[in-house]
Amino acid sequence: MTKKMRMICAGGDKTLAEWDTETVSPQRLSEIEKEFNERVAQGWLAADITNKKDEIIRSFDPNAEILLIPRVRGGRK
Amino acid sequence: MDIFSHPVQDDYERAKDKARHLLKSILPEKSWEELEMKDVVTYQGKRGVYIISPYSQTEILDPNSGKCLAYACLQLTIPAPTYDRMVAEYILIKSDEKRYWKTANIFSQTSNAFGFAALFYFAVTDIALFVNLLRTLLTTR
Repeated sequence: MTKKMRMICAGGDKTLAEWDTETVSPQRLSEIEKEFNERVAQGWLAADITNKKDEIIRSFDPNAEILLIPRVRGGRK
Repeated sequence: MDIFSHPVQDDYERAKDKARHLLKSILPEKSWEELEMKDVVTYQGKRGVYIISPYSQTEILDPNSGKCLAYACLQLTIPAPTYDRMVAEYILIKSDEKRYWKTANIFSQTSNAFGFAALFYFAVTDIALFVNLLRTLLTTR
C-alpha cells in the first residue's frame, strides 16, 4: 500500500516522500524517518491522517499517511 | 517554492484550492458539508464546542448552554492559505485539546464583559466628576 509524508507550505501541501509499505527498502524508510524526526525536532506537528484519523504522532509510523504541519502559535485579537 | 515565500496571486489561488482539498480529506463528510453550507466547521471537544472559521477567530461555546465562552486565535508560522490553518486547528483540537489551549491565544468572553463594565463605570465616574467641576466653577463665580 502506498503511503505519503506531506508537509504544509506556502503553496499548499507538498509530498516529501512516498513509499510502498510492501516494497520500500529499510534504507529508504530510515531516510524518511530521519526527515520526519528533523522536522518534529524543529517544532513541526506530525499528524497521522490515515482514514481521517487526524491524530498527532511523535514518532514515525511507516504505515501512516503523515501530514507535517508547521509550528503554530497564538495569534492576535 | 520555498515554504516561507509569499505566493503570487495565481499561485495563491492554487494553494487555496490545495488547502481546501487537504481540509476535505481530513474532515468527516458531515463537517465538510457544514463547511460548504455555512463556511464553518464545528467540533465538539471536551472543553467546549469549537466553531472554526476560515475568516474569523475560532469561537468556543459552552457545550451545555451554547453560550460563547471565548474566542481563540491560532496561526501558522509560515504564510499559508487559511484552510491550512483550519487543518492545523482542527487536528490540534481533535488530537490534543490541552495543547491547543496552551498554544492559541484565548480571549475570554467574561473578561470582555468585565472590560465593558469597567469602561462603563469609568465613563459614569468621569461624567460625574465633570459635572461636579462645572458646578464648582459656576458656584464660585
